Amino acid sequence: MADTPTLDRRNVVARLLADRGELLVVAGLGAPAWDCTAAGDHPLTFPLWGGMGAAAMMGLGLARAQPGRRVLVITGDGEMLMGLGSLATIGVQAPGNLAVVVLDNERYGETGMQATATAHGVDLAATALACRFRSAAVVRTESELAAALGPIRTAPGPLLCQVKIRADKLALVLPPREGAQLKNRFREALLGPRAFA
Amino acid sequence: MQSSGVGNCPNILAMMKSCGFPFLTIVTMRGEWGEFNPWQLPMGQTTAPTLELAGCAVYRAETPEAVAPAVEAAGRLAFDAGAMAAVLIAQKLIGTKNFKD
Repeated sequence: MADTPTLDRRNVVARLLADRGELLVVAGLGAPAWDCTAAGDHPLTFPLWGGMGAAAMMGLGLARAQPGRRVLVITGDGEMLMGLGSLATIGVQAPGNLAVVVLDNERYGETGMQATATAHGVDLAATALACRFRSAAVVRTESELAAALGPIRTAPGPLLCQVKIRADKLALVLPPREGAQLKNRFREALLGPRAFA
Repeated sequence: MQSSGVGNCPNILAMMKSCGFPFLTIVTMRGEWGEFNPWQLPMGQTTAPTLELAGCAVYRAETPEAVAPAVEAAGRLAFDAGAMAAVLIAQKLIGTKNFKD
């Protein structure tokens, strides 16, 4: 396969979330949620602790409910592969405000670093394009990442960015884990008093 | 969705329960009334208990007149009470698939 990835996942996510403004974030379960938390726990980040395969669909629902806000899903390759059909649904719904970043270490990190399909050449960016995403790319280098950061925030969606990252096992940085609390703080930060009307 | 699709949902239903998300689904039933396809039977016969185990209120409509009130009541559960609710549309009502035409 291609060269061993060099990008560090925590650095990638910290840059994705720097000066995030009004960005709404869904973090896929496992390491992507820890990466988002390491970048700074935030009420407008919804970290998933379960529901594997559902991160992109949660992003779609949020993007449809909040068409005036940018929605960013940050998830892993294993999680995205489990919900591959959601790419077709997103492509057809075509939310212009949705971006999906797949942190691709080509491993199932939470269960012992077993190889995923991306380790065997499955191309999620090409899959997204075939599913009618507006744009999609594989990012392998620092310069490609730097070029992708702007479009991830502002380019018309749906957009998918598959970022090849090193298969590191990093220290856990856990977000709060009570689901109703995570939902309520997100809704309150987004809707204000209307959240509980 | 169809009753067989409910079989694909428990892990996501678990997330709904964990987060207290409102949820409304309308399910057309297979595998319960004159079913021809044996592969539909296991899920058709466990659709209601599967949803109930996940924390859903389950309403059934057996006649055309029962559908709108059931959907309205389930909708209130989801939209007003923030709860999880399902309406099952009986196979007897939608008609048994005969696999001949």
